[in-house]
Amino acid sequence: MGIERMTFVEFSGSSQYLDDVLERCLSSGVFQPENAVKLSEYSIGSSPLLRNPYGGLSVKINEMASQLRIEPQYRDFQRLPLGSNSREDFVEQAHEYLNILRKEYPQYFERKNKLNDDIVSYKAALEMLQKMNNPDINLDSLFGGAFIKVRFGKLPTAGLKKLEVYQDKPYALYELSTDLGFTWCIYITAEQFHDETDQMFADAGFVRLRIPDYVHGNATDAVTFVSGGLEQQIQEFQDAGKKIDTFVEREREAFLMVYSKNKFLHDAYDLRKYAISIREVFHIVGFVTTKRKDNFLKLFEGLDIHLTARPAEDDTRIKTPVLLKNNWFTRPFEMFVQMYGTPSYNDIDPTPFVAYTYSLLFGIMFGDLGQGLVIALLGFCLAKFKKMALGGIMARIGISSAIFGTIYGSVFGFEHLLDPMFHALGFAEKPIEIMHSDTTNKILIAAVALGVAIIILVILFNMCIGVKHRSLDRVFFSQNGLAGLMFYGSVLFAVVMQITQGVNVITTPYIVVFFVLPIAVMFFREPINHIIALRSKDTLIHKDKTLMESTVFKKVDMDITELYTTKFVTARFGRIPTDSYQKLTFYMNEPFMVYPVKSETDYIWIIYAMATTDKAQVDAIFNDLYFERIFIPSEKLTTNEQAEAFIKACIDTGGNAAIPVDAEAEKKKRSAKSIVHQLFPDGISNFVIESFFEMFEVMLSFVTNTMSFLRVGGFILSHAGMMSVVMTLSAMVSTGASPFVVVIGNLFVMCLEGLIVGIQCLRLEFYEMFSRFFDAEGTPFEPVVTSYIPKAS
Amino acid sequence: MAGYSENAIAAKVKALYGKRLTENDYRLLLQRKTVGEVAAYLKQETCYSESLGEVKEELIHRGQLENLVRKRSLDIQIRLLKFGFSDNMFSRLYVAEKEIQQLLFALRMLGSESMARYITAFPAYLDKYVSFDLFQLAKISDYDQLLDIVKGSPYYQILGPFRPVSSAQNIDVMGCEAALLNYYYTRAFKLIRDRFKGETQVDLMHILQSRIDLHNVMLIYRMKRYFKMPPDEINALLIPYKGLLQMSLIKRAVEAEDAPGVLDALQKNQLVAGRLLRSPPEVKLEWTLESMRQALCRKVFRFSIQPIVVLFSYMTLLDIETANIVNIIEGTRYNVSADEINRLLVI
Repeated sequence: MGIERMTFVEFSGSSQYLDDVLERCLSSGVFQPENAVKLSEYSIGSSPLLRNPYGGLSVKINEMASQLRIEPQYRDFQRLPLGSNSREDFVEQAHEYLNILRKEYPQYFERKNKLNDDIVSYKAALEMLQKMNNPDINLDSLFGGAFIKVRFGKLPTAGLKKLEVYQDKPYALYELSTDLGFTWCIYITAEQFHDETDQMFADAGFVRLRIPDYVHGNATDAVTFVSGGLEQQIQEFQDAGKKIDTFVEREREAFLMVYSKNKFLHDAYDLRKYAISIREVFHIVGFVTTKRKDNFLKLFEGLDIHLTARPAEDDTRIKTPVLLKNNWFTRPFEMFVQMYGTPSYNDIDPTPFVAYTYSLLFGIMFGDLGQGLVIALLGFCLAKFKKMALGGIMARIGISSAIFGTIYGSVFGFEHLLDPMFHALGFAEKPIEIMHSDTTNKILIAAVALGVAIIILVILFNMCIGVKHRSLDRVFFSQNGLAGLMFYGSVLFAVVMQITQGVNVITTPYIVVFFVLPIAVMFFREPINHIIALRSKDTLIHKDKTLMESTVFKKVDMDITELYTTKFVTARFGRIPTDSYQKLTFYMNEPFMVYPVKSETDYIWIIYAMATTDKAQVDAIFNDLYFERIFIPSEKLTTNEQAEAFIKACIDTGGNAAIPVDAEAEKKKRSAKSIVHQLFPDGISNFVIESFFEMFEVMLSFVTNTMSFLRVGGFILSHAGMMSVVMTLSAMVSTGASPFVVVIGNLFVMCLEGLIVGIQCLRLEFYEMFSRFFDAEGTPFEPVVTSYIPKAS
Repeated sequence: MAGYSENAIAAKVKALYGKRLTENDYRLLLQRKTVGEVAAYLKQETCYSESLGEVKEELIHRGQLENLVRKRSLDIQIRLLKFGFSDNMFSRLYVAEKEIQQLLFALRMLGSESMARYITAFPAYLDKYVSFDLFQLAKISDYDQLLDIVKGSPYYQILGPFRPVSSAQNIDVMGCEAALLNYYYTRAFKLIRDRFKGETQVDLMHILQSRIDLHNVMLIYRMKRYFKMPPDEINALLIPYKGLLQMSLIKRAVEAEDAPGVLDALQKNQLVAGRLLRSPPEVKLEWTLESMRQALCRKVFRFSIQPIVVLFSYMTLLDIETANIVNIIEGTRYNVSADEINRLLVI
């Protein structure tokens, strides 16, 4: 339980392997890349992200998918023969493949579309023939005339009236039938007048319909012929549809493999946005869970790249993402924790705490065996079938509700249904009779007591986190640390003693030790922290000393005194800029030796030594490299310890070891003056005002947080009250309607009160508990994966 | 192309400019007697405090102090360019300028067979920015090795033709310089023309042109003074782009008899003439042109609302400030009087 351990992984290698690495990272599904620019050494690199070479292919594939009506989804593309040699080949061959599809599928689609058009035309012809309404019209003789023009079509009934105006024009109109405001008709005109007549009819709204060429003979024969043709066309249309289906089925697997491979390569290429390239060398950094580290690293075997993996806590430059790790019972409650925020990598995961307190509080506030079991069952179903995290929570709090319901003896509002069981167990009556007037007070007091216990628990929790972070402030001085606990505990103790035993424990020493002292500590928390910060600087120096002793001096195994006093050897101590230190590689053949003593960001402290005869030459080199020399006085060279001490002092004081005593004293005096400023950076008056109001708020929050738990008792009563209303209502209605009232009443209470209690519990978690210990400054761990299901547009 | 980050850069740049060294700072700096005191003042009283954090005033080496001041200028400029303009084009251009400087430096040292000086003097902090390995560059002993190092970069094509045919032949450093600078300015002008229009383009062009003037005029002057070079040869070495000075003026300067003739020719320009009068005798021309550049940049810095113009003019002003500080450090180190150093400063 807690927070999954993470490993920080760093890849670097020749740019030719960049895509291989990214693809393996993506396919692993356990790697979260971080932007390499976040690391200062890579800040100047350029991003290798160019235009995604798979973008064009993606567009083409998606178009094709919608035309072929293939739903994009994942297919294992390992067996795909396309582009097995290289990525460029894949893009090229995939384009070719899609081009072939593009050429092939129109044959089927065009055939189907043509048949569709034919069917429409046949249907229209059939309709026209039926509208002719005269079986004797011979179509061949009607339309075959050489000098007359015959037009068939429909005319709006209103247009027919308009034509009456043109009765003197050279045309003949035959009305065939009328239909929905239209009159089906034929008009005949001489060839030389057809332009004028057509125009006239068009103005009147005539819609000309052409009798297809394949229609011959009289209308009755034609209808028979066209009907037969239509049936045949429909048959062929269906066949064409089947052919298309066969075609799509044949290509589906290959197409989906191309889709999946392209999507994968596309997404992997996009990961380049996290990479940095410096002089043809790429760098990728990221996190993987330590549990999966070994399997993940195995993926990169065989690639000529440099790979380092180290525990995430060793490198604090990038915030480590957090993956919560919980058991089956507590896991669903991660949802509530994530709603508030993610804990930091070095924090404690509050999920188990939430799981147990939330279940407990919900159970207490919503205690009903029947309703609890219903909620648990519903939650179980939601979790099982809908994969809802809330379902898992409901299942757990439902069980808790059922347990407390058993204690309260309440089943669907029937308060005495479990009495036989209690009698069988040897109880005279059920253990807790909520509605009894004596119980009410006890419930409220118990609720506050529960609140007190939880608040104390939370403060202890916060102190544990403080210990983990080595934060004295958090453990001792904060209102959620020892100071707050002492104050809160002692006040409660005094109140309890007064009420229960009638003993007044508040004496002067009690007040001084348990009230004044913690309040004073909380009040002066800020300056105390400043003092600690000042003191810790000394600790740092101490750390440096040990570092120096353990690593440098022992490593080079050098006696400084001997080095300085040996005849024919000259040694120099001082510091050299880091840039110049790197340049020493150019002087490998020069007659000197360098011992690094300590490195700082911009400088390295070194001792270099050479034969006295080469002194001038070597000194010139070091002078050119901006070496800053410090003389070691001869009196400091009597023993090696003295020399070491002098060198350490020089490093600690930045070369000021030989400052005269007066100057030291002056320095101390100056620093004493500024101490007030260091303790109260915003001034003493500001500090007093701020701290006063802060203390006021702290006191208030102790009271309000404790009182807040009264709601736990309140809801126990309210639940029982609401169920008694339901029962009263059911008693008021007829015997037949009574079960309905009970069922509906129960449903109502479960929905309304279940929701309210759920929210109130969450409120207690977030406000009364989380605010005291949970910083929620972490970022969640989200490894990169390819999503093969297209996003809904 | 104005994006949000660019506007933010304009504000950031203005804030940085607000922290520049003032006349009062320069006055107080000139009163310092040792390099350590100069370092102490810069560290304690100015915006250089962060960059000089680890410096021990009692120990600091002159060269290292100069290095740190230059490094600060580079860091600021790269940072502004990189984060203000997401496509890196400007930071690449800037890095190209630094690369050309290093190549020319190495070429000069190679030409005078003093690569040892290059090793001690090359700024190692630049190594992480440039496209070739500076440490490898410092190791070269002939022209072919230099070509090997820049292989794959545009410099290979540019420097290829200048490869000496025999080892006895001298390296044509001047020719290399002209070719490299020509490449740089062509790239810079193209970038500006492609990206900007109207007033922004004009302002940026002016800033660039003022540098061309500085380079060309100084080149003419030096060639006349030290080599008595004929006009044809000088013309071949000039950057073939028009600066802010009239072409006729440059032409006249090229054709002048000798170095004083160059000064006379340039006097024809009122602006140059006015400044020449006030310039210190040792560095008449350089000071004049540099102060003209400074005036131009100050003007556009104040009046332009375009982030890129503000940034470019600030970068020039920062370079001038850096040069001033280096002058003060060197002057102090070699016991030059405060008055003399003061005259060299472009304030």
